[in-house]
Amino acid sequence: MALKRINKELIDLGRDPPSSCSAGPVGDNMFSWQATIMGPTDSPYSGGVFFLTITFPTDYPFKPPKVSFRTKIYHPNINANGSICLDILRDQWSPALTISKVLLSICSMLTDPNPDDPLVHDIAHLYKTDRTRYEATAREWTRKYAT
Amino acid sequence: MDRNDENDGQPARIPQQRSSVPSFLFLIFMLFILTNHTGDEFLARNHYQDALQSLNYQLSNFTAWLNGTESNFTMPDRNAAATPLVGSFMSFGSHLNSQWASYFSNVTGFAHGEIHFFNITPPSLESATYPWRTHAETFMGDTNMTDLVGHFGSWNWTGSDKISWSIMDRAPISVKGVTEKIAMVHGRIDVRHPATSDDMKLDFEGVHFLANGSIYGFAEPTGRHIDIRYIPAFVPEAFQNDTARTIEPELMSRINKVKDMIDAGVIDQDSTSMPKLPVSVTLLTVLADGESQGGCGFSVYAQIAPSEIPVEDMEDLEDELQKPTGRWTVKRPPLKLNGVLLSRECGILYNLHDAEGLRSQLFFRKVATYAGISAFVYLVQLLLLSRQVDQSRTPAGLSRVSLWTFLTQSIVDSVSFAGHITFAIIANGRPSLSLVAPAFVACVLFAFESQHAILINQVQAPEDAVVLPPPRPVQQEPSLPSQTVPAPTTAPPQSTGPTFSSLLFRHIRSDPQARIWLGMFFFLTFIVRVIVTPSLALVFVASMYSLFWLPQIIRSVKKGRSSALTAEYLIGTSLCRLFHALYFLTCPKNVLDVEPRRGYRVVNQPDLTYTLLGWIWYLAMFIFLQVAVILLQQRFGPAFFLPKRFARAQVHDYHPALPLSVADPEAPDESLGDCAICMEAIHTEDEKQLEHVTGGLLRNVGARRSYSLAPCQHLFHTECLEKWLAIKNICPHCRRPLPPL
Repeated sequence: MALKRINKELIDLGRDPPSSCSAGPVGDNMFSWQATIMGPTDSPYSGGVFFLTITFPTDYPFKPPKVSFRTKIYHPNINANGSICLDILRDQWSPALTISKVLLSICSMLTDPNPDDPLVHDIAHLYKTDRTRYEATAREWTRKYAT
Repeated sequence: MDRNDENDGQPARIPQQRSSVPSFLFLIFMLFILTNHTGDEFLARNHYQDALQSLNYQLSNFTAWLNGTESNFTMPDRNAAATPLVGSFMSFGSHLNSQWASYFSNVTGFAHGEIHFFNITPPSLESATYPWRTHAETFMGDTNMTDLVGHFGSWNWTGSDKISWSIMDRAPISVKGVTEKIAMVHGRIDVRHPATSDDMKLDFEGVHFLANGSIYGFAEPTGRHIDIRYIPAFVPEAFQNDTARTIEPELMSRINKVKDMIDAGVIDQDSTSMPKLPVSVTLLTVLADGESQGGCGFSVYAQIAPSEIPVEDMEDLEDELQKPTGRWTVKRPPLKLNGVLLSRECGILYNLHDAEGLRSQLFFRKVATYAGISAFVYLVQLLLLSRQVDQSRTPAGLSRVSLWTFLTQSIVDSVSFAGHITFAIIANGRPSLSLVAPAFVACVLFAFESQHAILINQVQAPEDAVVLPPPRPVQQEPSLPSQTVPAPTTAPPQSTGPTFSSLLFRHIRSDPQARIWLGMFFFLTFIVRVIVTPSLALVFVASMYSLFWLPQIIRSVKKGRSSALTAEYLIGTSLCRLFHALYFLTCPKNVLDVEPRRGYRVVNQPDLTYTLLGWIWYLAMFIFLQVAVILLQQRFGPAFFLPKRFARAQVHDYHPALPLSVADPEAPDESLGDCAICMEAIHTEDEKQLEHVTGGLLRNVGARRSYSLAPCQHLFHTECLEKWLAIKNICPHCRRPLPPL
């Protein structure tokens, strides 16, 4: 069932690709994908291209896929290992969600970080207290690592 | 943004502040209720000082009297008629041939038996035809009848027919110049009335002559001080001096004990079961309680029945009992006591015949055995529970078991835990500590069960909340405004004088927190009460045990889903739970020695003596009837025993007949849309194939099961939804909670 559904998602992605992201399997293994996200234009990440790895569990879609950033990014909800703190990737997962929906959620998270449930507390604190400094750092990191 | 954060924070903080004050007050209140012994310590210390003083005074007088010098103490004259009167009920033992027979040299333990009441007040003796009438008349002499009645108090002396006597036999004291082996005994005598659960408690002090197995002493109602200096007046004339010489060192040792205790600062109020300190001391500490049930003091004459084993073997046996080494001894002969309790004050004679004694060492062994078996039974229950929890761990499984089934069980276990631990602590002696084992396992079981109940509640609460709104009838809504119109006219007069109780009532009704606290208060008080009152404990057992599986049956019927409880768990748990109930209520020689409940004795109609034979057996049958119903529900459907119109009350039908939007049934792409879980189309062609095969017989049942329509109108494959509901029971689309599939 998992393989069937992953194949189906891949076909759907090809048929109707989302605007700022793309995704596909790395090699022959359909359970391990790679994805790219373009930094949203109205965010300090604009201009950057971020790479992510996606690992599907064998009981997908009943369990959420594991998604993590491979490109370094300065964000309150993403840590140095690339782990993402996003509720739909954890307890709020629903089998009706797809990879494209997940990637879109990550895009909107880049635009609107959630500093109340942070993964990196320093960045969240900076985001809350000194927005301009946060944006400057994020822009610099994007230039440094994502271009 | 910052302002938003503050706004977010505030509502979260306010409920916390609200909850802390009432909970604090509640805890203080509970602590006050549970420990209202303020000032006891100070009182106790004073009592010890008083006890020491009075004992010192007694000793100095007594020593002077023994030495023949002048003193305030005089030995009262013996009542010459007592010996023949007692002699007509029992015979005192003599020295036995040591090769053939012997007496138990230590009777520490408990004796139980029936007592027969004889009225020996002068008026009633006049009409009596007892052979011992003349003895009794001389014994009573010219007692004033009004004094007698005054002593009776509220206790029903005539109806009392049971006695339980706890005896503490101390090591014989060897005193210079005393040839007889004399041991001091003390203890407590409870006279029981069959109709009331109350006991008349008497404290007992006496001497035990080891050579002929006789016990002499006296018993006074709790609260009166027993002066052991008077004991020599009750023993046969020949032994009087020896007894008096034995009592002198006893008084001295008591004085030393009290001194030690005052020095060590031990203020121990423990006077339950086997008193650690000399009874006279504990007595003084409770003097303040006063006399409650009237006061008849008794003189006690008892005789141990001789056992037919040689003295040597008996000594071996005693050694083995005192310090068990596992050595083989002769089989323990039964310990029988005969005796007479005689009260001149009240004109009462109780004859105690063949009371059975249980040595405490054996009792402790029994307790240890019970603790072992009981802990094992609880372990089995724990194992069964863990297997059951493993089975019904998924949300789908959890929604199929009843919350109340586990809640009642956890309540029973919490009471059992509290009971075991209480007895382990108050029955102070090392062996009773073995009761900690079942208490511990019961506690683990309780924690496990309540945790499971919480889990069930978490799963079922949203689901039950969803099921409830739909039945709300639409018709009532128009009538609602018309009802509210007259309400304001009647409300103002009420609100002008809102009484405190009505306010409180309204508050409790509206505030869920108040309800929780109130519920907890009643629950805690209830549990504490259950342990201390035996009659309430019976009601508790009856009600709780009959409620184990009933909620499960009701839930199954309501939800239209059979239970997820395995047969193994149902039967195993019922058996294990019944073990405890049956052991305490039907086994005649159980640890607690609760009377076997054979039935209610109807006093006025002797023919109806045993009307309700063994309700506990009916209870057991009722429990297994429930188990049978649950198992049958799993086989024949949850409402098999109900008429059709009551069945299937609140069930959501996941497989309704969907109107196929397709006009052309032969179209190849006849689909109801994609399933959001597997993203495949939901076809109805299975139905067609099936219809083809079965000729339409199964049209309404089988085929429709390939799809499932959630209450939120989202459609999935049944197979996919089933898999998802095993993980979480919300709709994948809209996250609304879903009823069980």
